[in-house]
Amino acid sequence: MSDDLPDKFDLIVIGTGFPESCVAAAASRIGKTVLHIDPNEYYGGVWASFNLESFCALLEQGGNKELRNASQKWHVAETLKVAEAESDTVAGETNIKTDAAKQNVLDWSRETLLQQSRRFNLDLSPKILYSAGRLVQLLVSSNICRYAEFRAVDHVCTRFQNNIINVPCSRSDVFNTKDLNIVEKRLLMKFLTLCMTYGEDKTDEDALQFRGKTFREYLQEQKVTEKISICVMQAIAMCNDDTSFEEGMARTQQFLNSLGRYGNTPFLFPMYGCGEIPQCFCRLCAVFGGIYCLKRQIDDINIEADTNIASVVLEGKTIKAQHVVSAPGHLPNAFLQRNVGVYGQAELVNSLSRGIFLSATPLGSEELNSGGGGVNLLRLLAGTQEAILIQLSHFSGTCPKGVFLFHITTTAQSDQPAQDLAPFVSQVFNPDDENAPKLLYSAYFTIMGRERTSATPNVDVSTTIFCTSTPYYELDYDKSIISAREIFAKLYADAEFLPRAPDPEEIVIEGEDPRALSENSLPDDLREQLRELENSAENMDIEDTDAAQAGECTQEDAETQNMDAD
Amino acid sequence: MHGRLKVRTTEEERERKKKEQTLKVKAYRAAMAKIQEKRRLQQLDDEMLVLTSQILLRNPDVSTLWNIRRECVEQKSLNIDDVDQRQAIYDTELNFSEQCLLVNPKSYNGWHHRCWTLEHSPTANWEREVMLCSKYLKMDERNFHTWDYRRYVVEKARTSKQNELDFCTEKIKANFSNYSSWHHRSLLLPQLYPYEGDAQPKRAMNEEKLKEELEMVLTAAFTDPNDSSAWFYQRWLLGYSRQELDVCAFRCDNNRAVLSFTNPIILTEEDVVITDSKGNIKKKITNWKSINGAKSDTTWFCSLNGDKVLEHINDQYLLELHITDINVKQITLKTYKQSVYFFKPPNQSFTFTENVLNELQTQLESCESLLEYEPDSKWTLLTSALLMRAIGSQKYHDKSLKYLGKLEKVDILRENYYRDMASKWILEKYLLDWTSSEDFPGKLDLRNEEHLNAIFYPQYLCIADIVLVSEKLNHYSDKKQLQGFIAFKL
Amino acid sequence: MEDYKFLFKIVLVGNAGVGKTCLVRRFTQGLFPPGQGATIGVDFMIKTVEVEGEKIKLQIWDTAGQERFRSITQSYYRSAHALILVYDISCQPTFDCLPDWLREIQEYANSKVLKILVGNKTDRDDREIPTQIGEEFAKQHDMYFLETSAKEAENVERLFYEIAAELIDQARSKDGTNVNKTTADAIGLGNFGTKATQNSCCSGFSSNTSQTNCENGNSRSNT
Repeated sequence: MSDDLPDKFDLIVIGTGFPESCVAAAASRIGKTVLHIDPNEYYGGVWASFNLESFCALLEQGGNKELRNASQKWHVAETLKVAEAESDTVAGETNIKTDAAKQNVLDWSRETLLQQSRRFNLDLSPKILYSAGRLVQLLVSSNICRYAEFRAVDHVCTRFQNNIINVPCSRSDVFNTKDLNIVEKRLLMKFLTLCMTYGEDKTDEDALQFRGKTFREYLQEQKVTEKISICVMQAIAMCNDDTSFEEGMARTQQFLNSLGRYGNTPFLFPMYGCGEIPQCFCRLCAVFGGIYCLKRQIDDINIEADTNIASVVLEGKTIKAQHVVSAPGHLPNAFLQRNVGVYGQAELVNSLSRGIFLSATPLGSEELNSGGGGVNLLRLLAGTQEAILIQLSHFSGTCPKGVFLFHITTTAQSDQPAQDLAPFVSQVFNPDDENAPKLLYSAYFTIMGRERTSATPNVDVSTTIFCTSTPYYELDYDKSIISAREIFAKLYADAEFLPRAPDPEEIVIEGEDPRALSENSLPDDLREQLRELENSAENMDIEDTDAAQAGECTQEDAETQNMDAD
Repeated sequence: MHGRLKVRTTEEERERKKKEQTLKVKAYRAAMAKIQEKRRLQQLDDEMLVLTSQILLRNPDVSTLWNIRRECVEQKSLNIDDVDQRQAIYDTELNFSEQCLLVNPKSYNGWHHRCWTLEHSPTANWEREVMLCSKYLKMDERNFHTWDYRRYVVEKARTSKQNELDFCTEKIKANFSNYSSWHHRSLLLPQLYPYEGDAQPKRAMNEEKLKEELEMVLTAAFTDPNDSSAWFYQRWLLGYSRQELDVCAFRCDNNRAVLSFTNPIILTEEDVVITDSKGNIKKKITNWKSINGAKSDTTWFCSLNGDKVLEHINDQYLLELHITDINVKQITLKTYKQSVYFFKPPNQSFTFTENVLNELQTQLESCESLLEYEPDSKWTLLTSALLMRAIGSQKYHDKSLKYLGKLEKVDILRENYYRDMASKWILEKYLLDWTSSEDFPGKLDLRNEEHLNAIFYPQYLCIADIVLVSEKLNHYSDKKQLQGFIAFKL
Repeated sequence: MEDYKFLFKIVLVGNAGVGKTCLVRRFTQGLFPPGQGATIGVDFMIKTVEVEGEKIKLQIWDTAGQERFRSITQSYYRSAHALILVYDISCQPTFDCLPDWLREIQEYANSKVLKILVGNKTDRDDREIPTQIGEEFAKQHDMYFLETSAKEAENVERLFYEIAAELIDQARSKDGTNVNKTTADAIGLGNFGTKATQNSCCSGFSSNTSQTNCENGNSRSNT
């Protein structure tokens, strides 16, 4: 099987989750030879997206090393026929709205949903990206962004007096919202403007006055109404009562800085799910020569004592590598048993409690779901716990039209994800609330992670083997990127982390004169000119000023003119 | 290293760019030379179209080439009778100009060429053009070229005005900082919701709709006070920019007549007649002279030496006017000493119905409550002041002036602007009060109005025998209107 | 602004060694590269073609070697307008793998993607797959079919120009105004830099108008 593979690499990466793929891409990008392996037959590990059938199958088999405590439930009939029969028995109900909701539920059965299986991309670890956040910046600066497309999150929501309301975040949102009166609009805009410019003046009184206090205390000082306060605390700064002033302000600014870049909110969601993200990094790794093998088991890893070179035994074949980077769940048992305690990851612990829900109706008002349903973000609070809810419609490429997909994530409190999530689920899918979405399917599972104590360092400098981090409880990928960069920095101390990959036009193909214009890339009339020039073997050094004299308007010129005209 | 990535250095790239630029210049020159030669020979053929395309795609603003294209198209379609075939020629032009507009969406030539093409093509698809506009406005919702073009094609496509208004609303919802879109709105609303009441000057639109619009625009103003587009629209709604042509003042004795208007007009001799109560023509006033010698003016006078116009001063006299744009045809004159006169103080008839007034009142309350939070907010102060004027300039006279006074302090850069505005309001109030004072219309004494810094309505002052102004307004004294009625002579 | 109205993404798949890269290089650069493998760092190639008077930008993606161990990322198939499935007419196993490739395409590519089956290396005299067999397979699976030789430049231009023409027809029939609809709502991050500096987007928080406030103009001239 592994016969084609070279027997030596600079780096072997095991697992194709986000941080592993990040390191693999970065190493390949700076010219290292990389072998990237995954024991699974799919990309992404615990960061992957699945179609409905594979997802159900994964849960059916009880998950795997990194995904445990799985359970799932169908709330619809096996097939549509049976469902119709049932509908007869409930006929005669008076409430039209309930009837309509029921009707929607009846449109689906387990069978019809599974028929659309490949239209689903169910994320194990869903994320939302700040438009100016770390991941987006990394994707853009590395040029990896060309492998993915995104959907702007339509609404950021919050719960206010048992209703789900839209948090107006942009100027046009504030203008359009019916949830705030005009005085509140002014106050919110004024507050946000204040946050936006906050810190420009270092001697700002507030900065001194509120140092050491909480963000909530600061908000109270700002004469804003309760509704605005809730919007800011829950949805914009996403903080708690004890979040410090500095932290809350920094988060508000992160939110505001991400506004106005792509969509109406500061957030993006990857089309076809977050499982695409690690794959984008893998593609870059491959483009720069990385070799990919899925569905390969690692039998063992040995480290030569004198050279510190790792020998990875891959389905019987030994491959040597300067370094190995692995997802915590994929290190072979034989290896771990010989190194008990060294990597601190022998035992994985409960990290995130996850719920995935399908419904035929979206959450919240018509306004939040205009045009067939929004991709919406809602942060939920229950006591001191919080959870992130992401509603996805078919516009995100993660579910078929007519179905809404909900991800709820919270930090694991126990090995019973359903119980951990119950206080949040009851807020949005309360069966007694006739406006709440009626569920078609629900699933719970736990994402496992490394236990983190002060005794287990993220990376151990003395070894050739590095272990990546499992998903964190965070909206974006910030912490995961930081930990991937840390590993990269240990591997290649002075190398740049994912410098911009050149566009195809910039690359000099072997044997090509880097100074020459490629005839192929020119428009017809210029091609003709080029040929003429070459034929007459004329000297090409014409003064630059000629261009200006000819009144030629290049694209740059035109753009400048446009800007002037604005 | 073998197989490693090689990227052009900046030096190499510059050289390539330079070569490309050189090629472009050469191509441009070659094409231009050929085009000129062909034009001289009147070879308006397909080759000509190709040559012009190459240049226009890089720079859509070479007008000459567009003209040549039009000549080519006309030439080409000259001998083709088949409609479809002819249409195909024009469709090519539409496609082409669309490509050019992608290069520069603000190319006057590009948009113009589309208009020309559609006007000349046998079967123009106007709906498609409306869709095209929507597409371009999605890329840049503030491109006024597209908005202009949209008005043109919407007219042709007979798109319903309501649809247009809805489109416009969507654009404003997306970004209200958009002059073009507010303007588009201001053109549609009076047609869709015409005003049917009898207030003078007429409202822009149906008052129910006006109320909604006021609400929307105040929301915009509260959301982002620094955006001026909403302000312009608000003022338009409140009627500040719609001073209609009307008579402001008239006075006449046996020696002279003076007649003034809200806006400058050209007064001709047939326009004005004085009759008695029985309708007998007493005097047809000819020989009007504009007070400043301009062709068009607000104030006109005429010397009547010798004419016994007002034989029985206690009679009822009427002024008959036949001026287009002025609805009032007959004005009853009042008597003062040996003269007759008419006077209508500025900006007084502007009252709203209960419904709109309630809305304005609510808005004023919102502003006031906001001022409790932000007592120095300049735009809230200004909106409040403007709202007060709209609700009742008399009732809120002092308060609105107080706000302007405050604005002079908090917004010092525009101090003079507020002063001028105050002067305007003061004068309006003074002129109104003047009508019921015992000096009226003989004497107009502005000396005690200490905040009056400018005189905005000199045409109203011309009927007083004497106009007294304070020291600081002395520079106005060369205004002929301020010299008093008696001073009028040829 | 870009001066093309249409941008189409074309992806190539098929076993290693069937000549995918050679087809791309032949078309975009007019070269037939001796030796093997894609140039390091080259992701896709671009060529602007003119079809029916329209400028069309073709973005042609290669597999980056991930086909070697059957590990192509799903994301490679996303948003492709056309998909070229290539086999080597002188190598039976590359033809035998086609059903596997079709399964993968079925799973990950857009169901409406334009599919073209290409038998490459017609210059070879050790043909193993008769033209007719390829043709039938293509017909069975609702694909266009063409045999090419990247080496001899045979049918290569034709392959891509026909794809471009077909895609343009599809795009036009979808929308009267020739909008490239498929990607209308999805956002690419390419223009991040310009957005951030020019702040030209409508939904930003702060006012982005450089319009001067009407109240700012000086007084007298204004009234």
